[in-house]
Amino acid sequence: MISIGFFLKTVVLTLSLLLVTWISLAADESPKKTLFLPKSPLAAAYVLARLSNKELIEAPRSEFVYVALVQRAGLDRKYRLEALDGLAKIRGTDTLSELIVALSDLDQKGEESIPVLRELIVLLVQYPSADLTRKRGNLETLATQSQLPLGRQAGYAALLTSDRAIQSIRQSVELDPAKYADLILSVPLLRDPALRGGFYSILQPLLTKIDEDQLRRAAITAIVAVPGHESEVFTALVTLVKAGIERALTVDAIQRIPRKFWLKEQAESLFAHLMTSLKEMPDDQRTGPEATSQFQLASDLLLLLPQESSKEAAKALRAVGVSVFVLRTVHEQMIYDKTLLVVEAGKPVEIILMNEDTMPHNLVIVPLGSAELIGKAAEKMGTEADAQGRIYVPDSDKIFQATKMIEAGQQGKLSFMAPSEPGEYTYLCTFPGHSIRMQGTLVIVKDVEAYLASRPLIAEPKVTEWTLSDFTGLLDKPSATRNLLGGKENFTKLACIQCHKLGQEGAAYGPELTDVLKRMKMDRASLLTEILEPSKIIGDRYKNYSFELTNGDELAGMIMKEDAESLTVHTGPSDALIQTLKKTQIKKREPQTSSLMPMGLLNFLSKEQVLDLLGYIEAGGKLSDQTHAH
Amino acid sequence: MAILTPKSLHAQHLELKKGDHIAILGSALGDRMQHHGSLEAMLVSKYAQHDLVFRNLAVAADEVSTWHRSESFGSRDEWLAKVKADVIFAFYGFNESFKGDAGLTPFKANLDTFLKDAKKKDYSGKGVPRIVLFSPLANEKLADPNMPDPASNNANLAKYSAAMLDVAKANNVQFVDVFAISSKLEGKKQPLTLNTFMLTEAGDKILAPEIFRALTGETVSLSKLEKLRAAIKDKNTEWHARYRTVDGYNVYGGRSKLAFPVRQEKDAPKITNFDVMQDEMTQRDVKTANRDKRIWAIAKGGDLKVDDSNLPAVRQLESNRPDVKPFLSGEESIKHITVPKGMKLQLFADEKQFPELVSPVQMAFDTKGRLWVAAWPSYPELRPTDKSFDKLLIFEDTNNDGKADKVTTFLDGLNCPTGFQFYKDGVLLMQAPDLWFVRDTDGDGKADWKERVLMGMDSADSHHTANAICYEPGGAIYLSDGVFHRTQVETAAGPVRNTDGCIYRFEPLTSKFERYVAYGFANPHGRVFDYWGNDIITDATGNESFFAPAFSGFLPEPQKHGGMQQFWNRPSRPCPATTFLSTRHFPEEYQNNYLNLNVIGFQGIFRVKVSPNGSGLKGETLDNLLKGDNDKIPNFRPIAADVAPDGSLYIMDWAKPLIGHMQHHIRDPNRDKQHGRIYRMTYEGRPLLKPVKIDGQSIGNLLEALQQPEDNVRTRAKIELSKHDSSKVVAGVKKWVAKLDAKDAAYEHHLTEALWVHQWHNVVDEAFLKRMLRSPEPNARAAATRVLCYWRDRVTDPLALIKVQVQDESPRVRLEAVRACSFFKTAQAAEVALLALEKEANPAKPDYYIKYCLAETMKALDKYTK
Repeated sequence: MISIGFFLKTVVLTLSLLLVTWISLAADESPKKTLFLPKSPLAAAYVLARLSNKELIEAPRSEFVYVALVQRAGLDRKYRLEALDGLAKIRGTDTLSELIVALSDLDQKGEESIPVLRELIVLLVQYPSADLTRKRGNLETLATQSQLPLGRQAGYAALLTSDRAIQSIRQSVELDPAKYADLILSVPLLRDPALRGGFYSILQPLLTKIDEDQLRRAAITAIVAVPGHESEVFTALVTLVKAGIERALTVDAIQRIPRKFWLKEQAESLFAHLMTSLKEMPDDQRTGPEATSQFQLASDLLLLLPQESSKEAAKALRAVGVSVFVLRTVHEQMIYDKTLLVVEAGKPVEIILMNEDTMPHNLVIVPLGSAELIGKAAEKMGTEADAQGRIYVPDSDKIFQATKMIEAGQQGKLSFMAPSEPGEYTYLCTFPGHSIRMQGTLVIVKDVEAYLASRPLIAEPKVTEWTLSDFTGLLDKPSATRNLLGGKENFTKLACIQCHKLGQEGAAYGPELTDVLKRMKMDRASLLTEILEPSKIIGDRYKNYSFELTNGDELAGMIMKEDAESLTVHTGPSDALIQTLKKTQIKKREPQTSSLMPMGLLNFLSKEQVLDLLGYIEAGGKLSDQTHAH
Repeated sequence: MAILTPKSLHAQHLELKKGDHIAILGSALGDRMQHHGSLEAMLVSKYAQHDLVFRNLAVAADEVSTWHRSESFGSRDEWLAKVKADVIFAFYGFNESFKGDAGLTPFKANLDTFLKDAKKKDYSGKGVPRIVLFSPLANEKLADPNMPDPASNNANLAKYSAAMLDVAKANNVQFVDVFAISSKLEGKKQPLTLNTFMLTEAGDKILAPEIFRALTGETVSLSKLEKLRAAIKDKNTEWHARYRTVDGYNVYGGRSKLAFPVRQEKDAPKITNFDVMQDEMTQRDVKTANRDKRIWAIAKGGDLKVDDSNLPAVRQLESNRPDVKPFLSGEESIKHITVPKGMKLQLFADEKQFPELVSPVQMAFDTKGRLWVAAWPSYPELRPTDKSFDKLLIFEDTNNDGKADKVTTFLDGLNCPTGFQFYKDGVLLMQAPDLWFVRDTDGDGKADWKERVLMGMDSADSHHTANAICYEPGGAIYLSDGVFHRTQVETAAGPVRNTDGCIYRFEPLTSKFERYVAYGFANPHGRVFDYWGNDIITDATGNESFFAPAFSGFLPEPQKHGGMQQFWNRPSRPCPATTFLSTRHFPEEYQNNYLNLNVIGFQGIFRVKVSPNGSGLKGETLDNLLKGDNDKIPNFRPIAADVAPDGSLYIMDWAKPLIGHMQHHIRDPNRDKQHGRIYRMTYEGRPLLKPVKIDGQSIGNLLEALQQPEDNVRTRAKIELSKHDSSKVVAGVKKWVAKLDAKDAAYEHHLTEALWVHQWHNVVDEAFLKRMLRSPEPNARAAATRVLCYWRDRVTDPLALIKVQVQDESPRVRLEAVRACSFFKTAQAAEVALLALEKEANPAKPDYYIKYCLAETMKALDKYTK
């Protein structure tokens, strides 16, 4: 279940980030001019549409600007949240109402708004069910009246989230295949895995329903988003492929099933089937999307084939296809679906990036060892595009290849000649904040088959929504026996270091962590709870406040010091962001219920890694003690 | 007598040494001196034994930190080295002054850099150049009410002159305060300038002695130096043809690198345009130097005959088109030109009867009904050794048999007369880089008076040097300029610069000059206005025709308008000219067809039906008006078509086997220099129109002529009206308007003509304008909105008026209003322009041209809204 707390927190975090942006702007001595904005909605929308994303972000806020911020493609989510909040205040409504208005506006604008629609749907399904229930009427309108399928699906996804009444909603649409298909296709949009899981029994029979093409197609697409039955789904889809039923759709769907659920025993026959299909394909279709997809599935299957046959199979496959790789971004996980691409040296190669996530991503290839440098450089950049129309691509000789920023639901392509010398490259997404997670390795080799044969299967990143109970019994031992080096690595990677001081490192924005466990009387469970649920307990000093100033400015931050006349406020993780406010300047001060610390920080770590991180914190950021302990 | 203020003289007097080369740099003040020669004559005379060499490198609109020239022209340093400058006269500060106070500091810094850099140079091999700085001419207050009030600009010029003095002092160079000198002269004698800032020859004669006195501390009587001055002008003409050569892109720029085989045989060596044309440039250098010798001789009290027998040879080549088909005669050719049933084509004139008629490029009927033709036998341009030149010819059909029987050479000695247009009692004629105003003052039918009224129309490519000169109904003329050009024109409102293609708007009466359509043209040759003043612009190369109101709004340089859709899907290309078939002589279905001429492949005339399309116009191809049989007459190249006073259609034939500029060597020997034809098309069985009397007619009669439906009649009537006193014309208009029949179907058009006559005479009648802005006829409202745009500086609250137009029921009117907003300098104008959206039935899918124009207008106003 997603709590309202999460949502609010995101908003607040957003606000503080936004303020950071404003403050740093003020520092670069170009004071914000007033925005030219006519009063007529049509004219205002026209003027705002002419602004670049950067100009729009910097624009002084007003109702029209908020509308544009909600609906403009390519903006960070924080601006959408800020804008929904702003609209709700101006119009005396609530953010959910504004979100629904925006969804229906975008739906009316047509297909060009699909990427933004996708982003907003993610926000929609995060609302508490009670809120959604109150808006049932609007959501039903959205589900039945939208012109875009995605608009209708959004409506169903929200209705499902509101009351989880899968069966009653299903019954209401069952007799209308078009509506039923919309409902089915809303399943991948659902945030709650359990809710998605509830659809298995509905979707599974549809896969074999021969007289309902529309529903079967919907089911094939939707069922791979249903957790808990992946191997059965894999088997069912393989059967469909072999039977030649909806082959293109099904081949795509299979590739959305996490690799670990693929069944080795079916790999060989599926591979053989795909080979036959590829060979039979007319030459002019060999590079078409269907062939590419089949080729990609077949090459992914290579890793499941018995060692003795995989080399031959790879050779045969390469003989029928061209070097086209499909790289997908994984919905809501901020990762690519593959972390290894193996390319033959000196040969033309094409990498298609399909962005199936709800936020923009790109694909940048840099020499091994340069990812951090490039990732960091990108974060410091503005949103002005370079000569090739790319944003967040630093001007560096380290950039080997880079796509434009690919909006949610869109795809981009890199076509290039692989270097003639074997070597390793890193591919990454340079959208600020993504590069640490979104990385993979591009290996250039002389002999692809030999390389694959000699290389073990690459583990995929795993996402776990940890709860305290997962660690029952594991927190008793002193953490100092853990792999502190690994803990230190994640302390940096997860950006803990950006706000917390630990030993000699880190920033003093959030609570000091050097002796945190001592302060908590060595209660490791409490420490872990604070990380898993940052808003549960917030120390007074770290409580987040929002301030409304007499000049109309708003800002948010933690109060460091307060006396009779003034307040010292820390608005972001840098000493430069400490400012003193006279109390006479402050019109309103409101404490916020949520922490500035993001949730889900540990989702990408294994249980062992979580324990290592705790150990590193317990060791006060020192590695040397541990050396002694061993 | 003028008394010099202390600051007008800085450092010691000028000392010139034997053999000194003096280079002149800077703006129009310096540029025009080469055509007048007064100061040069006085200095040569004072230093008669020194054999001084003057080379003028000044280009109107130059600033100390700009050098707006076509590709590979050569840098300022390179030219100073080429002319071996020992002494530099630098005339800067005028074009800079329009930046006002904000520009002062950068100007001083740039000037300082220029002086300090020069001190490190040795252009002549004899040491560091000596420099004299000259401040700008004070802008003159003229009696002509059409000329701008110079007060505000003079306030700037005073500051810029003072700044020059500071910089001159700091660098210890001589400074001549032309600003102070000319300020004192003002009003004492006849006007110095023709338009507040461009010296006339008479003005130069008054100013130069004062400058000479400031330079040398001496006085010389200029009147004794007339022979010397004439020799200097002759030398400078030769130098000007060299330094400012036409066709620069082919002489030294990108296409000078095009190489062609010397002989038509396998593996023959190649020769570039550059090779040959630089040989010609060397000839011009030698010709210039030959004329220096005569100057020195006259200065010493003697004289000599200029001897050009010492010119070095120019490399030759064979044609790359040896298989040129022979010409059929003009008469015979008619048999191979297909015209629609009922149409008759006859020969009006050809080279057989009139050997002067060679390579005709533009034609126009004058107010007497005579046909003027610019003949361009030298195409692509004159050779230094040519003895016969391009001409402006007048053809007459004195016995009304449809054939010319008389020709007069109005003006000879021309080089590339790419366009002309009648103005008052004379002709505006393009002679790159300048636009001349030429007149016949003694009535002998030949020009005898000339003034350069615009300077700086570039000619990097002679075949798209400013051409297709035409009138708008409101009296401004338009010049079309193509790619590669670096035009820069000095105006009383500041320099106007453009890179590559552009259409310019020029009001000859007020000297206002501005970019009209800045667009990525290749070579826009087609230029025509319709009955209501809508204009169609055609880019020749791709024969792309555009509905011009949508993309003729203001944009700050160097911005250009974005790609716009064509108003008509043309069947082929390229197109040298267009016109509207505005004549009742032809049957109804031909009335006001848009005619689009083509000269390669399809060598004929497309006929296009034009109808309204949203806020614009659209064209649909009809049957051809005319088509040559390429097998029989491959050299038939219909290059222009015009409706004659009797309603017939005249068609000019460029008559060339080779026409491309770049497809053949510039000096390919098979470039024809002997042919040219003019045909006349009539419709059998339909009477010709009775030519309306225009020449010498009273104001009343001329205004009556404005009721004629034929565009050519009304235009020529307005040209004739421009010879009359403006106040009398305007009074006449009031009377004429009062007696017009309001029930006449064309009543609102007549009123629109009345408004255009006001505009033509630069007389603002706000009440009448307001009446026309709310005319019941949408086309009249659109035309009035255009007039409002150009009167915006002289009517009360123009934006409030535009605000009404922008919400007009007619999209055509709204488009004009959106366009007009681009000329304002306020965010409010953007707000007004955006009101057009409110009138769109579906704002998500607005009218194409309004959408396009609004985007361009918003771009123009970015400075005030972003």
